[in-house]
Amino acid sequence: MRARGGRPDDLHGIYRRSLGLQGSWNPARMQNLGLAVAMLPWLRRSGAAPAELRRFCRRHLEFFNTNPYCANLLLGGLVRLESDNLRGGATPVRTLTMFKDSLGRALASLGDQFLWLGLQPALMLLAVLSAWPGLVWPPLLVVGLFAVTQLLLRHRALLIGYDLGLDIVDLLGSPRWHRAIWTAKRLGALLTGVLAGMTAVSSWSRLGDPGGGTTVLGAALALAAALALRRRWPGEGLLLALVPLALLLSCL
Amino acid sequence: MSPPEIAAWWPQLAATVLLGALLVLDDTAYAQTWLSQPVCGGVLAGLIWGHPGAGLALGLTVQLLSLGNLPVGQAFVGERVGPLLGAVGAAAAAGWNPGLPFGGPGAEAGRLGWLLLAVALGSVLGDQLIRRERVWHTRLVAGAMRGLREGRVEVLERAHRASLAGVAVRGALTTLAAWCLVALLWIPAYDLLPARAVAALALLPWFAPAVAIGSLVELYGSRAGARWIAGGAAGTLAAAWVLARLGAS
Repeated sequence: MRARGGRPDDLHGIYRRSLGLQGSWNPARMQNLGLAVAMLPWLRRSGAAPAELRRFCRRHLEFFNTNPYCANLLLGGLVRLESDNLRGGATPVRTLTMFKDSLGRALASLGDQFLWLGLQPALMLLAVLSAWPGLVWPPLLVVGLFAVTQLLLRHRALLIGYDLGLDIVDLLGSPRWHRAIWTAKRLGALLTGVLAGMTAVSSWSRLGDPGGGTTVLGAALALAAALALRRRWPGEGLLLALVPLALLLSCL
Repeated sequence: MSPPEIAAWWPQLAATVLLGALLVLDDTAYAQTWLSQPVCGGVLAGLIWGHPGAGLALGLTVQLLSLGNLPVGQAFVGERVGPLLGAVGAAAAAGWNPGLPFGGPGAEAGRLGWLLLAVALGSVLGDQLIRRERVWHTRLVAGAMRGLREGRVEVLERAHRASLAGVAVRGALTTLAAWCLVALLWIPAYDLLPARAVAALALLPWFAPAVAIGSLVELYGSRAGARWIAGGAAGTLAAAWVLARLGAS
């Protein structure tokens, strides 16, 4: 079913389902079911024969994994190629599978670098620092703004992906990706410095209090332990491992 | 906390359990808006219980702990949402107000440390629950693929819906379980702790920024990143010095 501009009129339905891409994430095939389910209603409405429907599902139930925030670019492209094929287009299944796999890997790499290793730590640091004086609303505003923006961008990515089809690959060469990753990581590093500075100021202001010296010593030792063990330990595990240190310091 | 007292809190508890289900869905399964991040989850739970400050204190501290836990690959994810929401609700119901995490000494800091310990334990245990849930998803997908071989396409949607519902139920149940455990066992046990243990607990919130800085230095600590970290720290210290001088004059 197609609407004005050549796009299917149920891209909004695909978008709603695409938000649950990771809903059935599994260690064996990761996002495969989420991807297939996102496209199913569109395929049904496109009037595909039952045999074609089953072939389509089998094709998309293979291993699939990408960054969920970038996935819609790929999803839009896939819908475009599949719908072209249904209308008698000539994208071979092998090309379609290669497109899905290679683009999925590339978007996973770019998305992880930008989102998980760049933007998320930076934005959450911003939320933490904005709440540091005890303000309740700034972290909600920071994250709320991100939430709305990313939802809009994911919708836009689906439309762009559909419009570009195989040409999405050209987008990946854009230097904007690397500029965005660089900026997010540098912002995160800068805010890490701000956090260190604010922790130092808060510790300094406690030095005059009873037990203030022990607190500062504890924070310094915890930092040393975190730097030494950082590669292996998640934050919660590290805190639990530091409980004996806190007990030891309380004896001072 | 007596049964009538618990009964009086049921509207807030029900709202917190619902919030737990929604935020756990948001965490990985649906939309991923980051509203499930601890600093937001804590505040939202605090708003439900009429103590947003208590939610902020605990949420901010847990957020610092988890800044280095990145959901890349099959790394440790932790189940922070349920334990955090449950702990915030239980603290509010018990009349605990942990105050600012890095405010000052006293009983409040010890209480915050005690709650922080509960959330950290819950998160580590909950991680195992998430891993099991994912194995269950594998089974659901395998079942759906068998159904597909028999020609039933609708089993795919059913399996996906079951996965999403399972995640939401996990969120609701972990939040409820955390609230019950913290309200009925963990908070009453605080009064039995020796003074030395309370003093040790008061130190724990101070470990959170240290853990955050350690993990973020790992993340950004290339030569170029180190310059930006040093610049941020130097700028903050300079700004604090200027503000202190202005305040003194």
